[in-house]
Amino acid sequence: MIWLVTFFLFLLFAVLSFIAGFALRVLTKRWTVDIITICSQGMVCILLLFMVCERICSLLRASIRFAGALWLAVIFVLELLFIFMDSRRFPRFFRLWRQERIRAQADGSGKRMRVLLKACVLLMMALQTALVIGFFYDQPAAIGSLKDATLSYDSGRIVAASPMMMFYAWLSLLIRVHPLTMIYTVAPVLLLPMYFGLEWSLAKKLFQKEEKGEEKSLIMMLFFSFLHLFAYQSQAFIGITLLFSFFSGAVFFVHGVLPCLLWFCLEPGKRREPQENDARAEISTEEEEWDMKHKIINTRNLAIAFIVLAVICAGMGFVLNRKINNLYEAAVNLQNELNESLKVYEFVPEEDGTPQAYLVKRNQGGFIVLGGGSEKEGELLYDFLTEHGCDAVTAWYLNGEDPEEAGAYEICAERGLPVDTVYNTGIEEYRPK
Amino acid sequence: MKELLETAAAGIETLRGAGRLLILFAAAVLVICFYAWNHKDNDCPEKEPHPAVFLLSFRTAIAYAFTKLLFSEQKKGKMPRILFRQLLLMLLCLTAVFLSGKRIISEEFYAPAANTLHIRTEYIMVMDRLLAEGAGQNVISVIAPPELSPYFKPYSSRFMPLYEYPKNGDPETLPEEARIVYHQFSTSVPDMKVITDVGHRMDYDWLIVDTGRYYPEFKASEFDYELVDTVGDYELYYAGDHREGGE
Repeated sequence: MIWLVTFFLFLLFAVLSFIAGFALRVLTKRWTVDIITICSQGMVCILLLFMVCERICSLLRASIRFAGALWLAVIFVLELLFIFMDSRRFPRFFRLWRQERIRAQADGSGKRMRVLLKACVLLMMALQTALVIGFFYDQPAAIGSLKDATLSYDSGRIVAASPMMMFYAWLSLLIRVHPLTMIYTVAPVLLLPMYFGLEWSLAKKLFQKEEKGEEKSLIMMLFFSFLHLFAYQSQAFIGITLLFSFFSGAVFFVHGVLPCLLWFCLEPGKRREPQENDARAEISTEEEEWDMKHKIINTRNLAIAFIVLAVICAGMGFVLNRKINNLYEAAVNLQNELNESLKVYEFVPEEDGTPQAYLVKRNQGGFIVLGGGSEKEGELLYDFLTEHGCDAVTAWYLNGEDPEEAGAYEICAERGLPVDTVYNTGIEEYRPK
Repeated sequence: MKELLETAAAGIETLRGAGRLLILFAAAVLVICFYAWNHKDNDCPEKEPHPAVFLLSFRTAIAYAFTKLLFSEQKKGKMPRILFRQLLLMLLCLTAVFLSGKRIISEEFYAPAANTLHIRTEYIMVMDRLLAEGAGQNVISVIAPPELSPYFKPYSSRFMPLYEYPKNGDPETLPEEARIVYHQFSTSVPDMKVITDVGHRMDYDWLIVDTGRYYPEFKASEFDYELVDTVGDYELYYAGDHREGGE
């Protein structure tokens, strides 16, 4: 069952990250027809977006469920908006992608070598993923932040220090599995392909202009794999070692965000000159023409309207969520508050066996004593009161003025126990005639 | 002074081996610089990326430099010679990678996972037993050996262990009481009086002892902890006076 859920999650994230990656391409004008690059960079974007949503919800003291729902809403709204605005780009992209595939297949030189290298690279990636899922490593140093995911899963609250853990906590709540199962069994299938994809995007970018660029990229991927397998240099680096801490925020930053930034650094900011038989150049010029011709004002207005709607919906959801949370907390604390508002201790002298006095400890502060007993119980009563933290009595209710009822009080007063007010209730036992 | 030296020694121990990656990275940058310089001479400087950008990702620099090195011999000489050189270079590069860090897939680190939680089954049984015993309690305070203690909080937020995995593995970073217990559990003959004293002082309800690993002179039951259950090699003790108080 867990594998079925994992598979569906993988498909969902693949689609979401593809659209996000495509939007990133359009926004940054860095064109590529490589689906792996688009998906892996898109995945980085949507995870960063989650971190932003989580941070906002953390400041607003909203729950982790709300953070996840907000994130999904933002992603869906933005991606639908993008699809709506740029609906023409997708068919063109796939047309160009097919053209490039056909061109690559037509290039017969070194085809066997490429297939062999691809098989090796895929095998290495599959082995590493299987290793992480199927084997456990006794490295307590690597599991430090997992407790935040469990805490968030159990309490529904956001632990602001661990945004990645909050992502797992939310996914765990969504698919109803323990956060550790989520992290060790489901997350590798979602995250490791992203990290490998980012490495592939860098390898492809670095060798794209060279002869036998694909072979070189594949060899570079093999080097990446070997580097991962021998990545344990020191204990200080355990938190950024991919195969030990693939789930951590530090790994996401080192192996996810930084390679993504490197990819953009490798692409110069200047516009490329259109070249003949160059699919990327073709898509670039087509997009520019289309952007120039298209009446984008209306779609921009529509976009603004969508964003305003999304913000209003998110705000309404937040207010509702907060009300529900407050109600829940009030209900949970009601019993505790009732229990803790008053505490009553019974004073029973050992030789007597019958209760002689009651000490009432008020939650707001202050002590009330009911009864007391005779003079001989005075010392015991004083010890009893001081043992229970009573350093001053707000009100003392005596049953009578005679030594049998007020003797213990007088001993306590003599020993220096401050008493604000003493009441004589004059209660007598009722004896039916 | 002694503490300062101990801290320095612990820091060095933690960082030991980190330099190997830096050396590999420095070598890779040199290779990249060499190619960048060659291309500069060939009037096509933009073909090679600027070496400084690789500061963003050390491993990318290393993998890129090795690949460049491997294919640099392609156009010089005859085919068998090229192949021989490429093989030699490949071996050199792989040797450098092997020497750069410890092998992750080793018995030292990896073992087949018995469950999807990636926690030893014995630990899970202990934790489940504690959760069952502490049903209704919001917090289950527990003192456990260092190998088990870090898994409590990831398993359930209801657990409150005396210590988790110390920062950088250095027990000196722990609070005093936790450090005392940690040091006791670092020997095979822990002084249970010291451990139980801390337990009573800090109001810790549960004490877990691995009988397969520790051979204390006196059992915890001698010091107001009551043996509740045994799970595998682990003995589960409950603070007697707390239990009475709780009831």
